Amino acid sequence: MRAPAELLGRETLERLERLTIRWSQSFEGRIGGDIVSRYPGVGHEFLDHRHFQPGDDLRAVNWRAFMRLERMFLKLFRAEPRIPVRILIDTSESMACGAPQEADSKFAFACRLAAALCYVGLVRLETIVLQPFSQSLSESFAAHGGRLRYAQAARYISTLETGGGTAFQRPIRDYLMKYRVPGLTFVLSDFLDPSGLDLPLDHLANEGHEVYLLHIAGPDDREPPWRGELELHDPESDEVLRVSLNDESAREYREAYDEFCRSLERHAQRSRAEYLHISTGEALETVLFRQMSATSMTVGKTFDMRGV
Amino acid sequence: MGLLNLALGQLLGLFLPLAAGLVALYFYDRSRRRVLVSTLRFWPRRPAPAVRQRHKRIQHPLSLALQLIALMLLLLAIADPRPDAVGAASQSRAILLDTSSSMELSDENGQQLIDQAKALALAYLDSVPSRDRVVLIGADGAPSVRVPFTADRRQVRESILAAVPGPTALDLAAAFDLAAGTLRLALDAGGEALPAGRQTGEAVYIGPGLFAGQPVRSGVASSVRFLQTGQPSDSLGLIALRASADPSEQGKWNVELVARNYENEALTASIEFFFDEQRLGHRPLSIPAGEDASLQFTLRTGRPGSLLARAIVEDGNAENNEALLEIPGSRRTRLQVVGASEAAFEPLLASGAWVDPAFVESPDELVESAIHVWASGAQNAGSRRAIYFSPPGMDSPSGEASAVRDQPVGEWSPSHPLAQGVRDPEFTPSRMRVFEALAGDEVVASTAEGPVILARATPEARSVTFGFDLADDSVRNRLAAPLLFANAVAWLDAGAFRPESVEARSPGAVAIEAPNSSFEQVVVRNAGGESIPWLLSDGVVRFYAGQPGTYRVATADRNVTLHLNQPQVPAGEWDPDDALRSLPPKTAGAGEPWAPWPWLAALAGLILLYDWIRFGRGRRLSTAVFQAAAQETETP
Repeated sequence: MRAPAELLGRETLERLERLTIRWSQSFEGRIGGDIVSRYPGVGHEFLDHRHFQPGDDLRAVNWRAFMRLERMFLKLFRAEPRIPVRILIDTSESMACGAPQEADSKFAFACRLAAALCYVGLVRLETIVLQPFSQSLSESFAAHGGRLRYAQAARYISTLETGGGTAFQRPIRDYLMKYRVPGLTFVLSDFLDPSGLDLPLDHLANEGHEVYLLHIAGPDDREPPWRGELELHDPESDEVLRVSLNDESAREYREAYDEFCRSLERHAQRSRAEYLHISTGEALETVLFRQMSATSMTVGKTFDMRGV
Repeated sequence: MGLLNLALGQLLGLFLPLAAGLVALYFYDRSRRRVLVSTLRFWPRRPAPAVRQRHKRIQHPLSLALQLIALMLLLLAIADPRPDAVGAASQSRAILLDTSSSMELSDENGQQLIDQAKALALAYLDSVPSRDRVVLIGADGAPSVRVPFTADRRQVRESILAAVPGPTALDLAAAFDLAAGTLRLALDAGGEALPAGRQTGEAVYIGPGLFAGQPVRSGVASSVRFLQTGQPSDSLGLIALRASADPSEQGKWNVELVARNYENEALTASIEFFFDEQRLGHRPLSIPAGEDASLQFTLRTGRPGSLLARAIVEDGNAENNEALLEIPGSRRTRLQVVGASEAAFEPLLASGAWVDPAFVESPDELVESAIHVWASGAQNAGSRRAIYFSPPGMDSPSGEASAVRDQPVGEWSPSHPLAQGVRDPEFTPSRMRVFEALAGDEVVASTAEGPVILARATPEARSVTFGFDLADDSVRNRLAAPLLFANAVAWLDAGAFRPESVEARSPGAVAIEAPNSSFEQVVVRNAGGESIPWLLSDGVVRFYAGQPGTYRVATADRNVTLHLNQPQVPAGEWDPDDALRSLPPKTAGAGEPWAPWPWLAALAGLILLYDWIRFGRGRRLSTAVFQAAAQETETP
């Protein structure tokens, strides 16, 4: 399945300009960002004093204190680093399922959401990395330098296709090897990895990445609309399961799925990651302006997409 | 319980295959479907029963049963069951509602006969069993089926109420023949054997029984009923008014009026005549009881106008106390003579008063509608209808051979209309030109040297060419000269000397005497100039005029203009011995039949709707609607 050719309309893009991406951790990254850090560096906001060491910048010496105490103190300022924002897009076969129409599939929704996050970041002069993956990392796309680069990013997203199975172990290991500077990491996936997400998520957190798990689910993923005799086919594993689906077994399915979502959320909390369950039945703007903003409010503004 | 549209076997023959198809579709719908899902990890893994076993088992027997019941109800609705048809055979009935011209009359109480007939027809309809099928026939001069065989009483009732009297008299024999034919067709059912218990039907005539034409033959139906209305209160009726032009005198019309006495005793009525609303006078007319009488008089008028005859009598039918006739103006054939004096042509023009001559100097004054007469020596310019007298060689329409003098015209073509009545062996013009007959020329007369009178007829033009001058002193005072000229004018203008007559009578079958006419000479047209079908047999032109109006008939001998506006009068009164004379006793189940098919169809629809909601996709739809409503409520 290919990504939709038309991702975001002009009106949506105009509304997205009111948003900004925020994070909670402090990073030592390069200067020039919007969000202040707890680390000292070049900035405008005063942080602390320390003793002058040879080689320090003389321009930062507090000369008033020197005149009074005859000792040299250095003024420290709060750094405003530019944090790289990386978006991991799941392109496994399961992303093409979950909705009766192809346009409403999880993959199409993930592509639109990635495009929206990319545009919001580019507007704030962030560096955006789009990194598709399935069983391994695919070729990435990096964009920075403002909203003018959005068109290239959108074209890149439109070329994406689904294929392969969902596996987080190897792609996350490669991701940590490829991007050693920690930053903000969005993971757009249905997280249907049979080997689980615990270990890869721990690795990401241990390496200092601030992780947002955006769990994208189709309407059929939680509420299967079929009844009767079914032959279920898993496109990733090519497995076939014959079931007789009635209201009882549908309820059991729903409970198992809900338990999966809850376990995913619990593990995200343990790994200091943010988790958001998104249904493709929702409008993209509702997800961006309501659900994601509300999530940041409830968890202490770690992820804030409110209008600025 | 009886089925109107389907037999029981047909019903079962439809139901069983459809039910089998429904069951097959049911099992097909319950067969295993292949579905693509995101993952299999959340699905409950229980041992699934074999598919074949699933197919053999009905999972929702109530759903299947409901669908089969709905199917049966729909088929029953199509079959149109009638509960009142229990144990009784239906009967076919033909209602002959009199819609002839007599029905417009009123009886002695002033009640119109058509209203009485409608009331009787509706009462008869209410008294027969609702299972019986009825055909409604409008009985007049040309009986026709108004409503084909049906058990739908409302349709028959509406048609009865909409019936209006027509212009023609009742042809009761034809109406009963039509009724017998429809009854036979309904019962034969295409040649199949009659169902047991069925009777042969009943024919019911409703009206006063006054008819024209042939009497009714017996045995048209197993049962004949005569529901008689009141009799029209009529004492005298003008049957015909006709006027024929007198050939002896221009503008003289011989008028004849025919009236009938409907009373049982002789009467004398005064008949007044008006021409263009000016009273001409009155004439008494004595008519014996039940017979016709006529009176004749002469009318002299040169202009067209309306001749009205009115009988001074008071009866229930004022319409047939008057007769109106449109007298046409004198018809004269227009002649234009080129290159001759009026004095020279006087003997020739005295041949008839129907000719309107004009003498012109120049061909520029000619009009195309006139007959052009080119005198001897005149330079002709070609005409559509022309008579040429000794035309110059260069302008001759025929090839000229030579000139002869004092030769008698000895040979006449007896079959040609131009030579009719000419018997003059000493007809010897002083100078003549002998022609050479070309292709298309007919030789009318010739001398020993060759043809001297030629006629030529093409679809576009007609001409007569004389090799001598008919106005010359040597021949103009001979008896054959004006006769030849009159024959030439008559041949060029077919209606010039044809006697004209006009006649007012009633519409219907018309017969005009035309003993000397051939098929090509007869023309019958209506007022709009359209040709209508006619028949020529035994010297009589016959056609049927179903509607009042003006019709024109041209035969070889005369032109007849017919004003068919008089009400048609019946010739006799039907008085059958073996007919039932009263309404049938009202039976159980008479009147409007109760048709349960709409209820059956509605019940089937309700069952299908319940099945759709309970077992079909409606269930999922309603669930989705409830969920959407709940989500809307939760959203702040």
